[in-house]
Amino acid sequence: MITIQDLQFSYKKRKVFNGLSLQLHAGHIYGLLGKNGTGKSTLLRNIAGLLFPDGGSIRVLHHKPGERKPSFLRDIFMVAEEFYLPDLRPELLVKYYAPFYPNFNKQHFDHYLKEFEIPHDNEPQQMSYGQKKKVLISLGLAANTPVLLMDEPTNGLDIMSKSQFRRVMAGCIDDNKCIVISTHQVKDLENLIDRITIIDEGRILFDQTIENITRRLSFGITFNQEDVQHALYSEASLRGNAVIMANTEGEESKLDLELLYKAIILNRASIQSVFNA
Amino acid sequence: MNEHFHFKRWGLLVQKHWRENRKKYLLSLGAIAGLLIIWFSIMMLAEQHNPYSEEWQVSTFYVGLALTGWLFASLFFGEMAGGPKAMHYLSVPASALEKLLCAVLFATVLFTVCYVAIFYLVDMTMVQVANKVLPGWAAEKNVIYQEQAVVNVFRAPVNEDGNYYYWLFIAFIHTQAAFLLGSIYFPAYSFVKTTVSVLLVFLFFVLYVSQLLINLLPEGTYVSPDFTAYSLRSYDYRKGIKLADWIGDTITFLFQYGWASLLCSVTYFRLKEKEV
Repeated sequence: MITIQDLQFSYKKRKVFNGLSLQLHAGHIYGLLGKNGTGKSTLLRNIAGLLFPDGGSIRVLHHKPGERKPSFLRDIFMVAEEFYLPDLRPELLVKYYAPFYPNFNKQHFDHYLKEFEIPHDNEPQQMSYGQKKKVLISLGLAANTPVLLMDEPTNGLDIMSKSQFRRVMAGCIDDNKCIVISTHQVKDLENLIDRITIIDEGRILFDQTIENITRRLSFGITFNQEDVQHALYSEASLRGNAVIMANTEGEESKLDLELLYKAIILNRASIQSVFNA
Repeated sequence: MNEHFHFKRWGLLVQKHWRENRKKYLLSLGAIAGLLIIWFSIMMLAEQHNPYSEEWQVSTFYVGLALTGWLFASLFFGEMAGGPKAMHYLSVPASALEKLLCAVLFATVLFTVCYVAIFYLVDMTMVQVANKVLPGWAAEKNVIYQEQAVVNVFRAPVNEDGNYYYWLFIAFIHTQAAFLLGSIYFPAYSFVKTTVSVLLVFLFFVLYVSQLLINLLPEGTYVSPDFTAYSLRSYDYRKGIKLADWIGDTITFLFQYGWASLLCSVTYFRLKEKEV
């Protein structure tokens, strides 16, 4: 669905991507993780056709995004980190935006607004930042575009809203959709994404499905120093030592996304060795 | 579905644009009406025996049209300066041509129609007010009051050089296209930067004609506005050079339609290549 080959991109003299290649398929929610300034938003904007690559190629549903053809734009929706929501009530947003998206589903939109507890007749001036973001997320989801890009969607959402977001997202994926969520708040994506892509300094550090991760790695808390010594990565906490170990028993454990992220950033070689074996 | 222009999609874009911006536009038109009323009122106080002469009404119309129109056009793509609005605008599923035509419709066609309507509404009202209020005052002061009449600002003038007002209007359309381009070309201070750019181009043209061409040609002067006829001073203006009529016609045609089309084409490509 999205094929990126040898992507080169720089902002004036600052190189962001130097040969990044990636394939994203329909039917998945991808978590694009990375530190601030590593190029997550830049990658999403390249996919959305808002920035043009200096080299390499991007194909989204056989389209070249930079051409910004209407047939491409109606198949992709981006919820940007710093977003703009037109000064319209939700019902008017549907009236004026739905005709641009052939698969727009009004019932879905109403359902998402209900999940997010946003009244239909709310004036935009009365809405908080978080409420506006939730309206935009609802619009993006109801547009039912094959590609949905979300850049830091949980930024500015309170704890309850983050929970609502995870619930809504979990119910919206289907085999024809490819959802890419970029964030540095990895905890927000737990139990939601089915593939993790971690980028750092313009290159892919790690790219695995959740299924593969939980099959190869086990996550746990231990007081046993021997376990800590054998761990691929460990971190002391008040509850004991949080560890990531090679999953030799074949038992699936609960993925600790934040721990995995830190392990890959700080000790990638040992984690990667398990996947290369 | 056509990727460059589809009438239904363009219609949706126009509807969406109007609904999102109508409050701002209606307030702007109200502000223009307010400014015109203030200006007409000042004139009524300053020139009580003949406040609204034909020249004054025409000047007010064209100066007002140009200043407000340029400001309006230079703000049109202001949202393209970067950030969330620009991303939103570029992501709307419509082609660059449809977005440009939507801009031309609002910034040039509809703006001009609305401005003309507002101008005449204010003009007719103020002329009636003047004709009711000022004669009494004139009688008191023993001054001859000249009956005021609404002027047709598009009427062919009596001079021999053709329709002067028509050319003013054409010049407005061209400069409006320049300010529309400026609004996408200059992300910040587009009105000021476009004004300076237009003045520089105009200055270059004046210098080109007055310095370069005049020095290359024998002493004399141009005798046609399209620069195709030149009269030689040494022959006491009876001899000169005249290019073929079709060259003059082509230059006139290009001036009438070419500049605005060229500037709109540049705007189209700037819109297509805009990154955010």
